[in-house]
Amino acid sequence: MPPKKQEKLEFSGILDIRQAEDLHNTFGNLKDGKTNIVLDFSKVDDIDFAVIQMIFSFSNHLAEKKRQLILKSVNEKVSGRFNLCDCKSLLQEN
Amino acid sequence: MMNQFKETFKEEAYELLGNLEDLLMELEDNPDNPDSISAVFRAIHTIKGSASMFDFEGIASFTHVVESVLDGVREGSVKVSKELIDLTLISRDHILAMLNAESDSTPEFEAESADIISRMKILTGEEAEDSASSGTKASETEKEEEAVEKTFRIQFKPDENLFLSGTNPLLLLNELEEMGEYACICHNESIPDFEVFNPEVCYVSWDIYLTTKKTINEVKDVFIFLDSRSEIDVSVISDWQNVLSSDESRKLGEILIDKGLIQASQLEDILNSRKKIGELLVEQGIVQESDVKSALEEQKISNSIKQNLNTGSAATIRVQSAKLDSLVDTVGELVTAQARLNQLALQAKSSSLMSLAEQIERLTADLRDNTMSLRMVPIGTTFSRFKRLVRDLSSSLDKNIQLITKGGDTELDKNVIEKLNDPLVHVIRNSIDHGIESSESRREKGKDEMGTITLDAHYTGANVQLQIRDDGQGLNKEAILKKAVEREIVSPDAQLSDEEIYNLIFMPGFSTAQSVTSVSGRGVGMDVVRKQIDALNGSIHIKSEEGVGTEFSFHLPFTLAIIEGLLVRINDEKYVFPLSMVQACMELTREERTSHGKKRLVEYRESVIPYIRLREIFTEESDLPDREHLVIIQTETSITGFVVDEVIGDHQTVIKNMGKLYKDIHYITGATILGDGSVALILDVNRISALAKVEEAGE
Repeated sequence: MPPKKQEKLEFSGILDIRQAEDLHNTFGNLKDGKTNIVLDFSKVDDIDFAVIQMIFSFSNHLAEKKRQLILKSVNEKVSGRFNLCDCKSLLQEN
Repeated sequence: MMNQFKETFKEEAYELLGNLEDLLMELEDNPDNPDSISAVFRAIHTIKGSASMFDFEGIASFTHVVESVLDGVREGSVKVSKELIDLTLISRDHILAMLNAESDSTPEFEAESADIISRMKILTGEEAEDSASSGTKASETEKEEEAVEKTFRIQFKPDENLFLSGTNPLLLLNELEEMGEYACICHNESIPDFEVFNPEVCYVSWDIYLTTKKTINEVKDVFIFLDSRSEIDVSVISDWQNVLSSDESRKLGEILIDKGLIQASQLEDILNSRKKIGELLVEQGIVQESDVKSALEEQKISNSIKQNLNTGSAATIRVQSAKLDSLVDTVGELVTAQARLNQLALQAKSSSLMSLAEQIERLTADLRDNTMSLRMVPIGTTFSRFKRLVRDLSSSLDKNIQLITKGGDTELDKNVIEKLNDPLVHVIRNSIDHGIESSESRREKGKDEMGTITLDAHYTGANVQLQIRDDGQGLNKEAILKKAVEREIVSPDAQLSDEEIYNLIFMPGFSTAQSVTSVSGRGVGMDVVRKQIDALNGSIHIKSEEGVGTEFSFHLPFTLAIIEGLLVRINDEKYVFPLSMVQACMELTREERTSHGKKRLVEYRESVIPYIRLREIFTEESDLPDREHLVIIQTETSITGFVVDEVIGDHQTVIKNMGKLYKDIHYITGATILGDGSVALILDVNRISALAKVEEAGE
């Protein structure tokens, strides 16, 4: 089967509860498509658990529709945050 | 959203700083009480943690130092002394000032912080700020070396609203991770599908396994500033030193589980298949079956109480007071509209409309009572502020004074309580400055060297009585009278009762103080006290005995918003009495009017009381009706009859202020709107009763 098309989202700065609502809307607009979603974290400095939890929910939602959520270029600090709360499975790049 | 979080932090910090003042007073009284020490530490620790989270760097770095000192108190290396309490109170004020300012990191604040910190260093005899990195650190390291390594199981189930309080659980996990060997299991099964996902809800919980030399309290302290709705359970799952040194042999099941040979659930199944302890004890004749039943019931009740307590602690929410005020205003409008509906239903003579109006009236009354109860707060919150006032002022005047509070759980409308602060400050200051003598003077008089001020609140009918008593030298009647004559307030030959003499101190600019101090004695104060209590529709009474002490009694209504009233008519105008003060209504016949000659007296319940005709006060010029009605009013000091044309009935009275234009109108405290849209005036019964007493004396 040919690989699915990807849509890429680029984030920057600190992703935390302040952006949670905007991110929720952004993900909400993508939830019914057919592409995989790539989140480019190369410019993300830090992340809080409210956002990690949302990514988890969004990732599960896509997986049920045979789509994938891919986190790319996650720096060490942000990666440490995912490990800290036992959500490292989200970081497995495809 | 960050601003919202910062505001939430500020609200919580104000509350914590308010509590901190009380806690420090308690700690000063009980310097060895570990609960008091922990409570003070927790308050500062919470402020520090939250300040750091919300970028209040000035507050965070300063409270870090205070926390280090308090940690020393907790560990016993720093003693609780008056100087320490003083400095901690100063620190508390400093944090409050930083919190109130636009920025908490100005050069002025930094200088003030540095000054307080250096005083703390001198006081504790160590470098408090550096304690985390140098001297104390060394002893901590030694302690850690001696400490036993333990593995903790930490079950952390955050409240689902955790994010709304601005808490990021990752910071807590990070703090734990830095304590030792850390493993974390996330229970994420509750995270819902994205379709129904709410980004503001925290759905997960964690089991964390932490192996560290830290104590269980240090581990628990990580969660110290989480509210009670988050569930945190910290338990030691292995304590090897204890295991090795323990006299008790380990249970077989525990060893098998530790070795991984059986699961805990398998052991539980096996244990459940055995007979229960109660059954075995009954079988062996050690206890009766009824004893077991009783013990089981006790267990059930105690579990139920625990469960209720847990539910209770979670069943509170924080609401902005402006929203409550708005709700009360709206309910006031609803009460007025409901009165209008009643009127229309009566006019329409429609039974179904009347029935509906009655139903709405009942619902409105419930809503009104519930809404008013939301604004009722215990007066103890105000009392506690005065502990600091008494402590600081008595210290500055070199007097030894304690404050005793009683009836702190007596509830009043928060708006009444807020307006009570200034009058109370004035009276307490006067007691400290002029009332209570110096220790030497008290000793000479054979009194206890420690002076006492008592704040005592209690319900009296539908009002609240607040008494401020001191055991000082009492009011000097001669000095007050002399001053009043000098100022031509009273004539030299005036015959005044004790209370009338005492009431002279409420005259503007009146003071008998020999010297003006920074505390009191300028004669601006007591007249303001009277005005402020009047504005609350309350009254003040003074009792005093020379050499023994003075008592000020404030009589206050519960609320200034909606009251039960008695609606009456005089000619075409309507007036309202506060129903709580009405004792009875009766007819005043022509015969009774003349039964005591010219004296306006009437017999009531085997005594004779004065009465006053309201139409004369409000200059209603018309002939007296054949039948008049008497409303008997009980004030704090007297019973008086008020003559009206007609008693209409009870009325839910939404109190409206009269505005500044009417501020000089006597005998009226406010107005209310009736169902037909007309206005009824609310009577100041205390003042009118006083008028009746004067008339009675004059006759």
